[in-house]
Amino acid sequence: MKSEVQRYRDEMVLALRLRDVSGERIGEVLAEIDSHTQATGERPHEAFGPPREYAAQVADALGSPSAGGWWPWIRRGLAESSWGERAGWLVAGVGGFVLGMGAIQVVLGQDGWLGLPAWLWTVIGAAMFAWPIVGLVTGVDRAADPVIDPRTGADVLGAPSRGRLLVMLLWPVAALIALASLLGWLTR
Amino acid sequence: MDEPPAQDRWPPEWMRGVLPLCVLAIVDDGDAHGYAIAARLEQAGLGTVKGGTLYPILARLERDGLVGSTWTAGEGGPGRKVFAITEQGVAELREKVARWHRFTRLADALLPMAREEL
Repeated sequence: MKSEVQRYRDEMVLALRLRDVSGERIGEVLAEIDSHTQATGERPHEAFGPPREYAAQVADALGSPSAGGWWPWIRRGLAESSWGERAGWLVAGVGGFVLGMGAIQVVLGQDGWLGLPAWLWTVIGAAMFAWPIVGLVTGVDRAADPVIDPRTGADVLGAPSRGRLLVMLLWPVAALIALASLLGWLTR
Repeated sequence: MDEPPAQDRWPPEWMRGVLPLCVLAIVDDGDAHGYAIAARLEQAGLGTVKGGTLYPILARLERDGLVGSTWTAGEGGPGRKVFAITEQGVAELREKVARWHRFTRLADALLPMAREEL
Protein backbone atom coordinates (compact mmCIF):
# COMPACT_ATOMS: atom_id res chain seq x y z
CA MET A 1 0.00 0.00 0.00
CA LYS A 2 1.62 3.21 -1.12
CA SER A 3 1.35 5.88 1.50
CA GLU A 4 0.46 9.45 0.59
CA VAL A 5 3.95 10.60 1.56
CA GLN A 6 5.61 7.99 -0.67
CA ARG A 7 3.36 8.90 -3.59
CA TYR A 8 4.20 12.59 -3.08
CA ARG A 9 7.93 11.78 -3.05
CA ASP A 10 7.66 9.72 -6.25
CA GLU A 11 5.76 12.49 -8.03
CA MET A 12 8.33 15.01 -6.84
CA VAL A 13 11.22 12.90 -8.13
CA LEU A 14 9.54 12.55 -11.53
CA ALA A 15 8.67 16.27 -11.74
CA LEU A 16 12.27 17.22 -10.88
CA ARG A 17 13.77 14.69 -13.31
CA LEU A 18 11.61 16.12 -16.09
CA ARG A 19 13.16 19.50 -15.30
CA ASP A 20 16.68 18.05 -15.53
CA VAL A 21 17.44 18.67 -11.86
CA SER A 22 20.45 16.59 -10.75
CA GLY A 23 19.97 13.48 -8.63
CA GLU A 24 22.02 15.06 -5.86
CA ARG A 25 19.74 18.10 -5.76
CA ILE A 26 16.64 15.91 -5.85
CA GLY A 27 17.98 14.15 -2.77
CA GLU A 28 18.38 17.55 -1.04
CA VAL A 29 14.82 18.57 -1.91
CA LEU A 30 13.35 15.31 -0.62
CA ALA A 31 15.34 15.59 2.60
CA GLU A 32 14.22 19.21 3.10
CA ILE A 33 10.59 18.23 2.60
CA ASP A 34 10.96 15.29 4.97
CA SER A 35 12.75 17.28 7.66
CA HIS A 36 10.41 20.30 7.46
CA THR A 37 7.16 18.34 7.49
CA GLN A 38 8.39 16.30 10.45
CA ALA A 39 9.09 19.52 12.35
CA THR A 40 5.76 21.21 11.51
CA GLY A 41 3.60 18.09 11.48
CA GLU A 42 2.09 19.10 8.14
CA ARG A 43 1.43 16.81 5.20
CA PRO A 44 3.86 17.43 2.33
CA HIS A 45 1.09 18.70 0.03
CA GLU A 46 0.04 21.29 2.66
CA ALA A 47 3.54 22.64 3.17
CA PHE A 48 4.99 22.42 -0.34
CA GLY A 49 2.02 22.35 -2.69
CA PRO A 50 1.60 20.24 -5.84
CA PRO A 51 4.87 18.52 -6.87
CA ARG A 52 4.84 19.96 -10.40
CA GLU A 53 4.53 23.53 -9.12
CA TYR A 54 7.16 23.12 -6.42
CA ALA A 55 9.53 21.48 -8.91
CA ALA A 56 9.11 24.55 -11.14
CA GLN A 57 10.07 26.80 -8.21
CA VAL A 58 13.08 24.66 -7.36
CA ALA A 59 14.30 24.64 -10.97
CA ASP A 60 13.78 28.41 -11.10
CA ALA A 61 15.72 28.99 -7.88
CA LEU A 62 18.62 26.90 -9.18
CA GLY A 63 18.90 29.06 -12.30
CA SER A 64 18.43 28.33 -16.03
CA PRO A 65 15.44 26.05 -15.50
CA SER A 66 14.39 23.56 -18.16
CA ALA A 67 10.72 23.60 -19.15
CA GLY A 68 8.77 20.95 -17.28
CA GLY A 69 6.40 18.30 -18.58
CA TRP A 70 6.69 15.42 -21.00
CA TRP A 71 6.90 17.09 -24.37
CA PRO A 72 9.75 19.56 -23.59
CA TRP A 73 11.64 16.70 -21.91
CA ILE A 74 11.22 14.50 -24.97
CA ARG A 75 12.25 17.40 -27.25
CA ARG A 76 15.40 18.01 -25.18
CA GLY A 77 16.18 14.30 -25.23
CA LEU A 78 15.85 14.20 -29.01
CA ALA A 79 17.90 17.35 -29.46
CA GLU A 80 20.70 16.06 -27.26
CA SER A 81 20.81 12.54 -28.61
CA SER A 82 23.13 11.13 -31.24
CA TRP A 83 21.96 9.98 -34.67
CA GLY A 84 22.35 6.40 -33.50
CA GLU A 85 20.03 7.11 -30.59
CA ARG A 86 17.52 8.82 -32.88
CA ALA A 87 17.60 5.80 -35.19
CA GLY A 88 16.85 3.77 -32.09
CA TRP A 89 13.75 5.87 -31.38
CA LEU A 90 12.56 5.41 -34.94
CA VAL A 91 12.99 1.66 -34.60
CA ALA A 92 11.10 1.77 -31.30
CA GLY A 93 8.27 3.75 -32.86
CA VAL A 94 7.88 1.38 -35.79
CA GLY A 95 8.29 -1.56 -33.43
CA GLY A 96 5.55 -0.26 -31.18
CA PHE A 97 3.20 0.08 -34.11
CA VAL A 98 4.01 -3.41 -35.37
CA LEU A 99 3.61 -4.79 -31.86
CA GLY A 100 0.20 -3.18 -31.47
CA MET A 101 -1.03 -4.30 -34.88
CA GLY A 102 0.27 -7.84 -34.35
CA ALA A 103 -1.36 -8.08 -30.94
CA ILE A 104 -4.75 -6.96 -32.27
CA GLN A 105 -4.53 -9.48 -35.10
CA VAL A 106 -3.67 -12.26 -32.66
CA VAL A 107 -6.59 -11.32 -30.43
CA LEU A 108 -8.99 -11.23 -33.38
CA GLY A 109 -7.59 -14.47 -34.80
CA GLN A 110 -6.65 -12.87 -38.09
CA ASP A 111 -3.81 -13.82 -40.40
CA GLY A 112 -0.58 -11.90 -40.31
CA TRP A 113 0.76 -10.24 -43.40
CA LEU A 114 3.65 -10.72 -45.82
CA GLY A 115 3.35 -14.47 -45.21
CA LEU A 116 4.32 -14.27 -41.55
CA PRO A 117 1.81 -15.19 -38.83
CA ALA A 118 0.39 -12.50 -36.55
CA TRP A 119 2.10 -13.83 -33.45
CA LEU A 120 5.50 -13.56 -35.11
CA TRP A 121 4.83 -9.93 -35.97
CA THR A 122 3.96 -9.38 -32.33
CA VAL A 123 7.29 -10.81 -31.25
CA ILE A 124 9.24 -8.84 -33.86
CA GLY A 125 7.42 -5.65 -32.86
CA ALA A 126 8.12 -6.27 -29.18
CA ALA A 127 11.83 -6.77 -29.84
CA MET A 128 12.07 -3.63 -32.00
CA PHE A 129 10.19 -1.69 -29.37
CA ALA A 130 11.82 -2.97 -26.23
CA TRP A 131 15.47 -2.41 -26.96
CA PRO A 132 15.59 1.43 -27.22
CA ILE A 133 12.81 1.82 -24.66
CA VAL A 134 14.93 0.04 -22.08
CA GLY A 135 17.59 2.62 -22.86
CA LEU A 136 15.07 5.44 -22.33
CA VAL A 137 13.86 4.10 -19.01
CA THR A 138 17.29 3.46 -17.56
CA GLY A 139 18.28 6.89 -18.89
CA VAL A 140 15.58 8.62 -16.90
CA ASP A 141 16.10 6.51 -13.82
CA ARG A 142 19.75 7.39 -14.25
CA ALA A 143 21.68 4.99 -12.12
CA ALA A 144 24.60 7.22 -13.08
CA ASP A 145 22.88 10.19 -11.37
CA PRO A 146 21.30 8.62 -8.30
CA VAL A 147 19.10 10.39 -5.80
CA ILE A 148 21.14 10.46 -2.60
CA ASP A 149 19.81 11.40 0.81
CA PRO A 150 22.33 14.00 2.08
CA ARG A 151 21.65 12.97 5.68
CA THR A 152 22.60 9.33 5.21
CA GLY A 153 24.47 9.15 1.90
CA ALA A 154 22.15 6.32 0.89
CA ASP A 155 20.47 5.93 -2.48
CA VAL A 156 16.89 7.00 -1.88
CA LEU A 157 15.14 5.05 -4.60
CA GLY A 158 14.88 1.46 -3.54
CA ALA A 159 13.51 -1.18 -5.88
CA PRO A 160 9.81 -0.51 -5.12
CA SER A 161 10.26 3.20 -5.88
CA ARG A 162 12.07 2.34 -9.10
CA GLY A 163 9.20 0.09 -10.05
CA ARG A 164 6.66 2.83 -9.43
CA LEU A 165 8.77 5.32 -11.36
CA LEU A 166 8.91 2.89 -14.30
CA VAL A 167 5.13 2.60 -14.30
CA MET A 168 4.71 6.37 -14.13
CA LEU A 169 7.09 6.72 -17.08
CA LEU A 170 5.73 3.93 -19.21
CA TRP A 171 2.00 4.40 -19.02
CA PRO A 172 1.93 7.43 -21.36
CA VAL A 173 4.15 5.51 -23.80
CA ALA A 174 1.89 2.46 -23.62
CA ALA A 175 -1.21 4.64 -24.05
CA LEU A 176 0.31 6.27 -27.11
CA ILE A 177 1.11 2.91 -28.66
CA ALA A 178 -2.34 1.56 -27.91
CA LEU A 179 -3.89 4.64 -29.52
CA ALA A 180 -1.64 4.44 -32.57
CA SER A 181 -2.39 0.73 -32.98
CA LEU A 182 -6.11 1.32 -32.71
CA LEU A 183 -5.97 4.09 -35.31
CA GLY A 184 -3.84 1.89 -37.55
CA TRP A 185 -6.30 -0.97 -37.27
CA LEU A 186 -9.35 1.25 -37.82
CA THR A 187 -7.89 2.76 -40.95
CA ARG A 188 -6.50 -0.47 -42.39
CA MET B 1 -2.67 25.25 11.59
CA ASP B 2 -5.80 27.19 10.55
CA GLU B 3 -5.48 29.85 7.86
CA PRO B 4 -6.17 33.36 9.21
CA PRO B 5 -8.96 35.29 7.46
CA ALA B 6 -7.93 36.97 4.21
CA GLN B 7 -7.84 40.50 5.62
CA ASP B 8 -5.33 39.44 8.28
CA ARG B 9 -2.88 38.00 5.74
CA TRP B 10 -0.31 40.25 4.17
CA PRO B 11 -0.58 40.85 0.40
CA PRO B 12 1.55 38.19 -1.33
CA GLU B 13 3.26 40.74 -3.56
CA TRP B 14 4.53 42.61 -0.47
CA MET B 15 5.74 39.34 1.03
CA ARG B 16 7.49 38.39 -2.22
CA GLY B 17 9.33 41.69 -2.12
CA VAL B 18 10.51 41.60 1.47
CA LEU B 19 10.89 37.92 2.37
CA PRO B 20 14.34 37.21 0.89
CA LEU B 21 15.79 40.15 2.81
CA CYS B 22 14.03 39.16 6.04
CA VAL B 23 15.21 35.58 5.68
CA LEU B 24 18.77 36.79 5.16
CA ALA B 25 18.50 39.02 8.24
CA ILE B 26 17.23 36.12 10.37
CA VAL B 27 20.09 33.88 9.25
CA ASP B 28 22.53 36.72 9.94
CA ASP B 29 21.20 36.85 13.48
CA GLY B 30 22.21 33.21 13.95
CA ASP B 31 22.51 29.95 12.03
CA ALA B 32 19.06 28.45 11.62
CA HIS B 33 17.17 25.65 9.96
CA GLY B 34 14.05 26.18 7.86
CA TYR B 35 11.51 25.51 10.57
CA ALA B 36 13.18 27.99 12.95
CA ILE B 37 13.28 30.64 10.21
CA ALA B 38 9.57 30.18 9.53
CA ALA B 39 8.86 30.42 13.26
CA ARG B 40 10.83 33.68 13.54
CA LEU B 41 8.91 35.17 10.61
CA GLU B 42 5.62 34.22 12.25
CA GLN B 43 6.71 35.62 15.65
CA ALA B 44 7.66 38.85 13.88
CA GLY B 45 4.07 39.17 12.68
CA LEU B 46 4.67 38.35 9.02
CA GLY B 47 2.29 35.42 9.09
CA THR B 48 2.74 31.78 8.14
CA VAL B 49 5.40 31.15 5.52
CA LYS B 50 5.05 27.67 4.04
CA GLY B 51 8.00 25.38 3.30
CA GLY B 52 7.11 25.63 -0.40
CA THR B 53 7.76 29.39 -0.22
CA LEU B 54 10.73 29.37 2.15
CA TYR B 55 13.03 26.72 0.69
CA PRO B 56 13.18 28.15 -2.84
CA ILE B 57 14.12 31.51 -1.26
CA LEU B 58 16.91 29.81 0.70
CA ALA B 59 18.01 27.93 -2.44
CA ARG B 60 18.27 31.19 -4.35
CA LEU B 61 20.21 32.85 -1.52
CA GLU B 62 22.57 29.90 -1.52
CA ARG B 63 22.93 29.95 -5.30
CA ASP B 64 23.86 33.64 -5.08
CA GLY B 65 26.51 32.87 -2.45
CA LEU B 66 24.76 34.77 0.35
CA VAL B 67 24.16 31.76 2.60
CA GLY B 68 25.68 28.32 2.97
CA SER B 69 24.08 25.14 4.29
CA THR B 70 25.07 21.96 6.08
CA TRP B 71 23.14 18.90 7.16
CA THR B 72 23.61 18.36 10.86
CA ALA B 73 22.98 15.14 12.72
CA GLY B 74 19.63 15.28 14.50
CA GLU B 75 19.12 14.49 18.16
CA GLY B 76 17.00 11.38 18.15
CA GLY B 77 15.61 12.20 14.71
CA PRO B 78 16.70 12.74 11.13
CA GLY B 79 19.26 15.46 10.42
CA ARG B 80 18.32 19.08 9.75
CA LYS B 81 19.63 21.47 7.12
CA VAL B 82 21.17 24.47 8.86
CA PHE B 83 21.75 27.74 6.99
CA ALA B 84 24.51 30.22 7.81
CA ILE B 85 25.25 33.63 6.32
CA THR B 86 28.43 34.13 4.30
CA GLU B 87 30.72 37.19 4.20
CA GLN B 88 29.16 38.11 0.89
CA GLY B 89 25.75 37.71 2.50
CA VAL B 90 26.68 40.09 5.33
CA ALA B 91 27.79 42.74 2.85
CA GLU B 92 24.68 42.28 0.72
CA LEU B 93 22.44 42.49 3.79
CA ARG B 94 24.07 45.71 4.97
CA GLU B 95 23.67 47.35 1.56
CA LYS B 96 20.12 46.13 0.97
CA VAL B 97 18.90 47.12 4.44
CA ALA B 98 20.20 50.67 3.97
CA ARG B 99 18.41 50.88 0.63
CA TRP B 100 15.27 49.35 2.10
CA HIS B 101 15.06 52.01 4.81
CA ARG B 102 15.50 54.74 2.20
CA PHE B 103 12.89 53.10 -0.02
CA THR B 104 10.25 52.74 2.69
CA ARG B 105 10.88 56.29 3.91
CA LEU B 106 10.18 57.56 0.41
CA ALA B 107 7.07 55.44 0.07
CA ASP B 108 5.81 56.44 3.53
CA ALA B 109 6.18 60.10 2.63
CA LEU B 110 3.74 59.59 -0.24
CA LEU B 111 1.12 57.75 1.71
CA PRO B 112 -0.10 60.23 4.36
CA MET B 113 -0.68 62.68 1.53
CA ALA B 114 -2.95 60.18 -0.19
CA ARG B 115 -4.84 59.60 3.06
CA GLU B 116 -5.46 63.33 3.57
CA GLU B 117 -6.92 63.67 0.11
CA LEU B 118 -9.62 61.04 0.78
